[in-house]
Amino acid sequence: MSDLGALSHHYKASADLAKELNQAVVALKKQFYDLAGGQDIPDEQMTSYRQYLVDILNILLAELAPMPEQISEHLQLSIPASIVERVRQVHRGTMAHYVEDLASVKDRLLQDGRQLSEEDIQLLDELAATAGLDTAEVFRRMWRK
Amino acid sequence: MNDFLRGLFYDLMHRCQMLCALLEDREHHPDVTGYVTQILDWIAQIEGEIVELTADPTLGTPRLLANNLRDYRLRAQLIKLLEWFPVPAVLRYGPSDHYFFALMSQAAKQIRYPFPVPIVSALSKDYYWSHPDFNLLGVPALEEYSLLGLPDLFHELGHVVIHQRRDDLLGRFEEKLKAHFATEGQRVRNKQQPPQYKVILERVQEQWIDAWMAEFASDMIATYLVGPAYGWANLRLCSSSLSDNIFRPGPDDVETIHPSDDARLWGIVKMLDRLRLETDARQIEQRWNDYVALTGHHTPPDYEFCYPMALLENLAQSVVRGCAGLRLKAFTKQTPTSGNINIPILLNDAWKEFLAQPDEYPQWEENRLAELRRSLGV
Repeated sequence: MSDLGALSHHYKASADLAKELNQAVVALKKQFYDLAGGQDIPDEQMTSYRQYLVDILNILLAELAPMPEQISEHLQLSIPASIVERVRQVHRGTMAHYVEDLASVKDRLLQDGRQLSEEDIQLLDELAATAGLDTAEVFRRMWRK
Repeated sequence: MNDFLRGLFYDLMHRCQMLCALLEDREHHPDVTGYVTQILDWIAQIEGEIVELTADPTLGTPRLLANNLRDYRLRAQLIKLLEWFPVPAVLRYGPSDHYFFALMSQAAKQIRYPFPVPIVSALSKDYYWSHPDFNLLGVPALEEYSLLGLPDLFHELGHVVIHQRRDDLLGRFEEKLKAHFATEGQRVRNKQQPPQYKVILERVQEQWIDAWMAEFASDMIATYLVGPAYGWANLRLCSSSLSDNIFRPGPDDVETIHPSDDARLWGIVKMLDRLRLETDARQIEQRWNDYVALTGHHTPPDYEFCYPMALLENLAQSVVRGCAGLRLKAFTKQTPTSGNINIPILLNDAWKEFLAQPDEYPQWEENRLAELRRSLGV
């Protein structure tokens, strides 16, 4: 039978993550760089975006831990293994520092996000780009089917 | 780039409108009228998102250009998928598709399928397939005139079930899977095995989570629903040389989406055992071992890293629990009914007949298919 079924599951998981991550990062960037409409985003909306990013970072930190950690069951989110693997490949040589950076960004997101730095935004943007790359690759594999 | 990006979004919007026009300008078969509405809703949702994105005054600003391009690509991909799968399925919907939809509708009642019955497109050039996101299945043309391969339709249905209830079916198993590979990783470190073992384990785990778990689980759901017939159909498929080596992918080439034929067969056997269909399980196992001997293929080194039997057993347990939770009716609970033909029983009768009297099977099958058509009213 065709690979399409499994690829569809993978595509959906990657595309959903890429879309949500990008949306949250765009909102953070609009506020951080004071772009048009950035200050008009309702507080509740920004809180929701930050919470989403915290949840994603929690999952990623658990996945990158030397021994896998139990992820809280109430989280309905997941990160495709291929995306975790991409992150692992990119940061293989500096994983300890990268994990520290992720944890720091998470802490600053939890403290209403006002302390976020440009490097933090770039780190989150890089994650969104990684999810987008993974989605594009799975899509290309579906295309070839 | 700003103008170009804006142009891309407008072009995409135009494609949405063309797809809608294609669907709205014709009369559809009653089987798919609801499905057409669903496709139009999907397109409308994408169109709405494009309107929102293009109305944003920050579209194309240098700080957000890469993000905007990502947004465009995601919508463009979805429109392409709609254009390639659901839209042609309804535009070319004909008597063969109707036959399969009627068949699936009857089977859905018999297995107590709790979700909308998928649309089936009978024009597949790629054997059976499913697009769970679009509730769409694909079947090759000749399957309309045969019973032996039809169990594979239930594998594809399994993908749709997983799409609908992934966490219920696979959530706990995924945790066990990760714990298993973490323990294996620790064992590799303790034994001071070469570093490539760590890489193999990481790649195998990735494949399990992103692809193999769903494939094994779909095999097991199909076995839960149609019993031994699925095992035999799988053996038949393997015999037609779908893969070059029944033990591939192994540790050296894990990137393949489907797990090895050998591991899949053992997953099916585990499910048959769990359903207490031990006699059938042993018969299929025996024929498989005969087949393996004939192929001359051998298990590659470290093959067991990829497909631990304990994980397959664990997955079978999770799938049975998940299917029971959805109140899906197992094959072992099916009973012959007067009136409508029971599809899971028919598929198993077909395989019994094929195995008992292969030379007389074609005539038997022709008669049963004629009865089935009458029963389905097609």
